[in-house]
Amino acid sequence: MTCAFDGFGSAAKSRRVVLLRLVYKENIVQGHKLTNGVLSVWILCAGLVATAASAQGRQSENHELHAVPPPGAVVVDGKLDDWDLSGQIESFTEYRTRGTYSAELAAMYDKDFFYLAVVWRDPTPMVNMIDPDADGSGWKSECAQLRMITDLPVHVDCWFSTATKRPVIKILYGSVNKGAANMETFAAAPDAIVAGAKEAFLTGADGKQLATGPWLEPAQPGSPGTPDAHGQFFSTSFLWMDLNDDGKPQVSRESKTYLPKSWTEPDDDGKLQGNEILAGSRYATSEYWRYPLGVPLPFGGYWLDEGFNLYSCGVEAGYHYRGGMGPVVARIPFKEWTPGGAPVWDVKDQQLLTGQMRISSAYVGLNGPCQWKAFEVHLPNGQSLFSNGQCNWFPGERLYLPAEGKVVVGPPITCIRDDGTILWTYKDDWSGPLRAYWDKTLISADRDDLLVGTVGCLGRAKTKLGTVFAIQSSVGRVYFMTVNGLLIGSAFRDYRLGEPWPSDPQRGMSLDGTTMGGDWAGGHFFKSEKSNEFYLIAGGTQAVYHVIKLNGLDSIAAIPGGEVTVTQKELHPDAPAIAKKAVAPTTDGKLEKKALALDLDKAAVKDATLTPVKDAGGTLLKIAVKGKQQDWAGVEIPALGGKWDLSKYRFVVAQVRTLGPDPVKVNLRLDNPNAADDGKGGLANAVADGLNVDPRSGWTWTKVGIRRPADAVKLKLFGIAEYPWGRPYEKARGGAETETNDSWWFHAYPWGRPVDTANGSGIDPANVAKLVISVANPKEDCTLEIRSICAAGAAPSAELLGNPARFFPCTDEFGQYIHADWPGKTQRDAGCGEGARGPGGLSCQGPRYVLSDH
Amino acid sequence: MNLRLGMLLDGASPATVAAAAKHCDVLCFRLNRTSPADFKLPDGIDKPVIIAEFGFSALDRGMLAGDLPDQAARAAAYKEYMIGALKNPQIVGCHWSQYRDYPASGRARDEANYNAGFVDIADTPYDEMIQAAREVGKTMYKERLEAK
Repeated sequence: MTCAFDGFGSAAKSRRVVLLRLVYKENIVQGHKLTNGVLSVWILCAGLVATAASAQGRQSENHELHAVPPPGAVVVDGKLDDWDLSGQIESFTEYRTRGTYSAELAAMYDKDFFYLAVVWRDPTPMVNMIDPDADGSGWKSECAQLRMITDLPVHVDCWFSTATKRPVIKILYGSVNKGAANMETFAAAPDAIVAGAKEAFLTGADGKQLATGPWLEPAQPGSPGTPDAHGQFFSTSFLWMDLNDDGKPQVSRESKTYLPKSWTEPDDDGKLQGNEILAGSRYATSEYWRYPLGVPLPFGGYWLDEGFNLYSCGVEAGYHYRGGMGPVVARIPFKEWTPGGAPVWDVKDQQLLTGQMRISSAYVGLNGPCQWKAFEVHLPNGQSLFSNGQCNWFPGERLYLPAEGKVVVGPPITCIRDDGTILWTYKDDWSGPLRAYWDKTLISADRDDLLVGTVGCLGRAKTKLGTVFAIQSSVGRVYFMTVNGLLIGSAFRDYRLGEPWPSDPQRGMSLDGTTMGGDWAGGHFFKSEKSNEFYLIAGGTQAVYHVIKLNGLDSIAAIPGGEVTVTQKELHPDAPAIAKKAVAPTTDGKLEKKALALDLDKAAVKDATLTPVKDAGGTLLKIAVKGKQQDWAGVEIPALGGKWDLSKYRFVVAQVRTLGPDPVKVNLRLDNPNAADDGKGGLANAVADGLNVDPRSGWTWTKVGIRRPADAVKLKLFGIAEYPWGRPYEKARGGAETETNDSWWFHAYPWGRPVDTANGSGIDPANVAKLVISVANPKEDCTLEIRSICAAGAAPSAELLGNPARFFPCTDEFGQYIHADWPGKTQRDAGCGEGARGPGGLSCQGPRYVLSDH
Repeated sequence: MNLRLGMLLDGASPATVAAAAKHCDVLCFRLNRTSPADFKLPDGIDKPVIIAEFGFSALDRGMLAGDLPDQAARAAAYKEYMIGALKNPQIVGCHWSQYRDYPASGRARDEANYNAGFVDIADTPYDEMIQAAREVGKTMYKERLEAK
């Protein structure tokens, strides 16, 4: 199956409340500790705009919120005449509805309090039926919510309780990351449980609604704690969820201030100050909150019908509205295509279909809390649409197949007949709903035969194979499976591997090797009954989504089970060449280790003495380190003849021991003639590695990788998705990248193990001039002995390193490294002639090695 | 009566070893060193020890990760380690970490691709290692009985 890009849509994105609710970490955001003086509190916003958004239809995009000192005493009464509003910003979800749905946000601080004021525009009164005494989830309806990373409060929800007619502050304490069991909530309405927390709510005569609230520092033990410079966070959300004329819930609007940086940091006196901006945001994800179409594409689903009319289904929002009223579906009619192939929808004519349609849901109970994910929508005209809602980030996946009487759930992807019989399962490496964001190391590597991180079904379509359904995964791939459990293809690369989707996609471009990011907020897979083409609405993490035509789905045929005979005619034209390549090693054959010829007569010493000693194994170098003043002590030994050509090798290894008394780190370094400090604390044209050698360990092997320069390696070969310490994956992929910790890494590359640039960014292996053996920062006298210095390990040629098409595949059909040969390497035809089942001669049974010495 | 083998301790503190010794009949360690001959338990602890995992990797047979130049060096390292274990009266067992090499393209999860096995990925034994194992086997009781 091939996939081709067949047009693209306008920027769009749905929201994800759950993500935000899970990012809290310790550290405190609080205004009362702010220092005196003119303070400019810079809150970096990524989703809130003070100025009008662009004509493309965007949410507000402020980037700063200034908290200012109050002019005098502040009374929390909903009136703002005692406020300094000079730092006020405006927040709205969509500029077209800015006049009716927006909020103005202002902040102040003094030595005791942090103040926030919200001027709330809404043509209808705030309606929020969430009873604060029974349910603290005011965010399920109209509400203003603050989210912050602190060591105490993490959520502050403010709303006016319609039923009880009182303003409510709901403060949530604890770490969401630790789970609900560790949270402690207090409803502070109207009397704040936390001393000083207070809210006032006022409905303005001009239709504006005013809500202001100062929040005191909660008097909790340990406050304020020591802020962590990483991941500090503060955000506000404004939720509008009005009723329709018929009393049914309307689509929701949500405007967010997403504040990736915070302003609290200890001053020299240990107190918090306000005039510094901390770096280290992990969540500058403004695109999450844009509804550029002028309609919400909420977390839950959107799809097209035959006429490319867009349907938006707010599963989650619908679920949460007013305590839960089911999905809400809007239809946005298709208007026209742009010359570039982008569909344009007529936003003004959007219709809410919630009250006109019948929604039949599939309820499949697993252990997760979401029970309503897949649903079928029956339009008044008889048309039936199908949407598979997302999984709300809880384990579980549902695809309702009413025609087949089956439900597909997972992970692992499992098909269950409606009588409860399990029909089939397919292996799905499910690492958890959030691992795609925070713990990529636990996600399996990209494999074509394995489902990884599946998070939701994107729809189904009839093909010649029967019903095929698409599964979205948290790693950016879309898998296509039949209802019989056959994985027939995929679209997009693993987002840890793929090339980013271009900003100017071209009609007809291939999807091969590309990614749209790891986690979409929807998508839909369907077949046009008019054209019989298959389409995929894709994307989500890049604030855009795209209409993609899938070619070839109907060309896939099922092959009956049993023996399959493939003739030469049926082979791919390149098959013989590929097979030949797979058999023939591309190095110069068997590679033996190579002793380095050392020019000891020209060796230079630094705070050390060098004494060659003959022993049974050859020449042993005794290096006595005497100095303690230099940053390193040791010897520099030139290559005999001026240079070593180590092009065929990956490492220089040696046996080393120290005579004590203490353990010492012994470094090996290889230099090109032009080796030098790179001016950044690292080495240029040199490579180095070190090993701690304990005198009790005796002779120990150590090595230094002959790492190629980054620009010499064009291969993208790696082993793990992301570093446990959070290093951006993209910087780590491919070639001679750098890394300091190999414990969670592809432990060695064919061209040498990647290490930190401080240990050299790479060398020309054909022109190695010098070996340096040293002890860094010597503290005591010590004596090293080193012997058996040689190059070892076969390296690909420079041509292979620069040519992925030549390098891959890098293993043969037996799993052996293909670009080298060695004694005992299993060859395709060796020993497999007799008893072979097929023309390939691949059916050798068991080890062919024969023990000869019994 | 049960024989309690402790969990694999890797770089454990003396306090941890002492805590394990209270409950375990045999203490298990990963000891990455050239020889365990001089390995000692913390003062006051006298328990049998099993080396639950050790191994050496070489670079000459198509594996991308390893520390030793060739199988000869690997076999020598194996022999030195085993003889060291035999000479240490505290040690009652010694486990080679893995029968088969890791995949050349890396093990799932941690992507280890070491030459860790007694046989390679295509099931071919490493002759040098077999010979070394036989030599150790032939002399192991003698080594043990002669150990001080």
